Amino acid sequence: MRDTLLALFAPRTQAVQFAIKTVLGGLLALWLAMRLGLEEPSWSLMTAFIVAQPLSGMVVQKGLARLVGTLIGTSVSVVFIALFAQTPWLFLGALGLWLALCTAAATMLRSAWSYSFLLSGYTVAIIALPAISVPLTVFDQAVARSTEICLGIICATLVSAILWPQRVEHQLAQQAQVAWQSGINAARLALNGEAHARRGLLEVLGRLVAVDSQREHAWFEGNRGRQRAAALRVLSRDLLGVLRLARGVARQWRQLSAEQADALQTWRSQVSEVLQQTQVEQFQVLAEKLSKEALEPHWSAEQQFCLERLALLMHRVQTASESLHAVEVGVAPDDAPEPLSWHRDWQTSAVYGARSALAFLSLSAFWIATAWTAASGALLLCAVVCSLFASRDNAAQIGMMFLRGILLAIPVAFVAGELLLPQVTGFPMLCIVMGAPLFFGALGMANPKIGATATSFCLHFIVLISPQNSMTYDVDYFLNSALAMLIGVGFAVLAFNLVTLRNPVWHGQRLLKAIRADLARLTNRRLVDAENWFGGRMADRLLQLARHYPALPDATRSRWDDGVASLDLGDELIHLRGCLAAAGSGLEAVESDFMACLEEFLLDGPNNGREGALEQAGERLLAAIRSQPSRIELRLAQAALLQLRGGWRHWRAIQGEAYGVA
Amino acid sequence: MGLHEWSVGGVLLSPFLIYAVLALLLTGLLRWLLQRVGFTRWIWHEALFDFALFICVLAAVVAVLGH
Repeated sequence: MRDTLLALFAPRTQAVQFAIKTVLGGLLALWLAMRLGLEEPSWSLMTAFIVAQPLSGMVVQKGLARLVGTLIGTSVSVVFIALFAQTPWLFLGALGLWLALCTAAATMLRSAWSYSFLLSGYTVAIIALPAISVPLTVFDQAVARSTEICLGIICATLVSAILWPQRVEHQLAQQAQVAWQSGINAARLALNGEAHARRGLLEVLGRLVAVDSQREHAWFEGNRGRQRAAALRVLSRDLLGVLRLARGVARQWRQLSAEQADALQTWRSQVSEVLQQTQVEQFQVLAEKLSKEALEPHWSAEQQFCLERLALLMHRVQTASESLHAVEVGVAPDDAPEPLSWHRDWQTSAVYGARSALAFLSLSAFWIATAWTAASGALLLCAVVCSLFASRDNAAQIGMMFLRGILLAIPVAFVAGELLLPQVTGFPMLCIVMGAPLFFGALGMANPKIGATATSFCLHFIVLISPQNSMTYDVDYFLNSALAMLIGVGFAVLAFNLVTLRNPVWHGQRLLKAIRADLARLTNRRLVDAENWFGGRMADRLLQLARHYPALPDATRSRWDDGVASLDLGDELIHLRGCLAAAGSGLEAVESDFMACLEEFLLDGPNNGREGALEQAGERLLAAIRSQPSRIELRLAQAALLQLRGGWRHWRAIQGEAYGVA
Repeated sequence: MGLHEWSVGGVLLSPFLIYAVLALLLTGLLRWLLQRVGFTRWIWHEALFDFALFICVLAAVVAVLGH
C-alpha cells in the first residue's frame, strides 16, 4: 500500500517523465487512429501502452517483436478462419494447439524476442475469435488490427525517442562495470576457497545473465549501441574465463600439501590483493613475475602448476579489463564470440504450452455451453494471460496482480466511460477524461513492484471505454465485458495454480542430464565459442538449481554439488583444449582419440565399462605431452589433464551413486 | 429462490452468477475454518483442494437454492 501511494503521489522524476511520454504517445496514436478513421482506435492506444518501456532501445525492440508477432498471428488467423469457419470445435482445437506451440516456443527462448512468439499465439485469438460468427470479414479485421497496432508502435517509439530519450547503451556500460566488479569479487572468493564462494558464483552468474539480456535492446541504438552489444559478448566470455581460471587455481591448490601451500601463500595473497584493488596496470606485471617465478627449479611440479595457473589468471584478468574498457568506449573487436547460450528446457516448455491450451479449451467449452456472447472476451484474456506470464516463476502472483488491476479499472472506467464521457464532446475532453487515470496508471507502470497491476489497469481501462469516433454507451455491454474479463483472468490464474511443476527431484535430474549431454558436446565444439556456450548454459542451470532449492536439505545440496562438479569438469576440458590448441604441436591425433573416448564416456554414463578405454586414452595423451619439449602451454595442458582425470573419477563416483540409488 | 434472472436496475443477472459469488464467500469461510482446525496440513495440493471445495459448495448452493 505504501509503495503504491509513494509511486502515485511522490514519484521520482524518471517515473513522471515516463508517464508523460507514455500518455503522450498513446494519445497521439489515438488521435491519428481517429483521424484516419480506423475501426477500433482503442487498439492503437493500447499498443502504445503495451510497448511503453523506460528505455528507447527496449521500446524499439518490443515494438518490432510485437510487429513481427502480430503479422504472423494475423496471417495464421486468416488461414484458420478459412479452414475451420464451419467447424467451431475444430477451430477451437486448432487455436488451442497453436497457442500451446507458441507458448512452448516462447518459454524455451530466453531472449526478448520470445515476445514475438507470444504475440503470434494470442493475436490469432484476438482476431479470429470475434470473426468466427462473421467469417467473411476476417480479412478486413486482420488488416484493421495490424494497422492499428503498427500505428501504436510507431507513435510510442517516436515519442520515447524524442522526449527525454534514455538509452540502454548507457546503462549497459554501468551494468557491465557492476558485472566486472562482481566477477572479480567471485574470482577472489573462489581463489581463496572461501565458504561464500557459492554466493559469489551465483551473484556473478546472475549479473552476467542480466546484463546479457540488455544486449539485444542496445542493438537498436545506432552503431555505438551495436558496438557495445558486441563488446559485451567479449566481456561475458572473458569474465567467465576469469571465473573458470580462478576456480581452476583453487582446485590445483587443494592438491598441495600444507607446506607446499604455505610456501606459495605470499603469491596467492599478492594476486588476491591486486584483484581487490583492481589496479589495471598491475595485472600484466604480476603475470610476468609469476610466470618467471614458476620456472625456478626449487618448486615441485604441483607448485609450478599452481603458479602458472595464477599467471594465466592474471593474463585473463588483464584481457577482461580491456574488454570492459571496450564496452565503456563502445568499440567492439572484430572477432567477437557468439553470445551467451542458455539452457533449453523442452519439458517445462511443453508443460506450460499444454497448460495454455488446456485453460483455453476448458474456457471454450464454457463459452459454447453457455452461449454467452461476452465469453469470447474471457477466452481472449485467458489466452493472453496464460501465454504472457507462462514462463515467469511467479506466474500465479503476477496473474493475481493483473486481476487486481482489472478490479481497479472497472469502477474507474465506469465513472469515466459511462458517467463522464456522455456529457462531453470533442477530442480534447476525451483526452482529459481518459488521460488523467492513464497518467496515474503510467506512473505505477514505472514502479516494478506494482507494474503488473498498473499495466493491467491501463489496458482494461482502455478496453472498457474503447473510445471511438461515434461512441455508443451501453451499461449492459460494459457489465458483461467486465464480468468476462474477471472470469478470463481468474481462469488463467486458476490454471497457473493447478498446473505447476513442483517436483524438485525430477527437475534436478533433468538439469544434470542436460549438463551431461553438453559436456559431451563440449569435447568437439568450436573452441572460440565454447566459453560462452558452455558458460551461459551452466549459468542458467546453476541459477535454476540454486533457485529451486533455497533451503538446503542434504539431498538437494548434493545436487548443487553435482552441478558444480560438472562445471569443474567442463572448465578443465575447455582449459585443456585451449592449452593444446595454443601449443599446436603434433598432438592432434592423440587428442582427438582422447576426446572421442571422453565423449563416449560422458554420453553413455558411468556403468558401461567405458572408463577403462578413457583411462588408457588419457595415459596416452599424458605420455605424448610429456614426450614433447617442456613449454608453458604443455605444462598447463598436463595440469589440466591431471585435473580432468580427477574430475571424471569424482564425477563417476557421484553419478555411480545416483545410478545405484535409482 | 429458483433459477430466475435477477433484475438490478433493469440489467438482468444470471442466478448462477449470484450463486457462484455466494459459493465463493462460503468456500472462503469454510477454508478459514479448516485452517483454524488445523486440517490444512493434510492437504497435498492446496490449489486443487480449494478448487474442488469451491465446486462442491457451488453444487450444494445450486441444489439448495435452485429449485
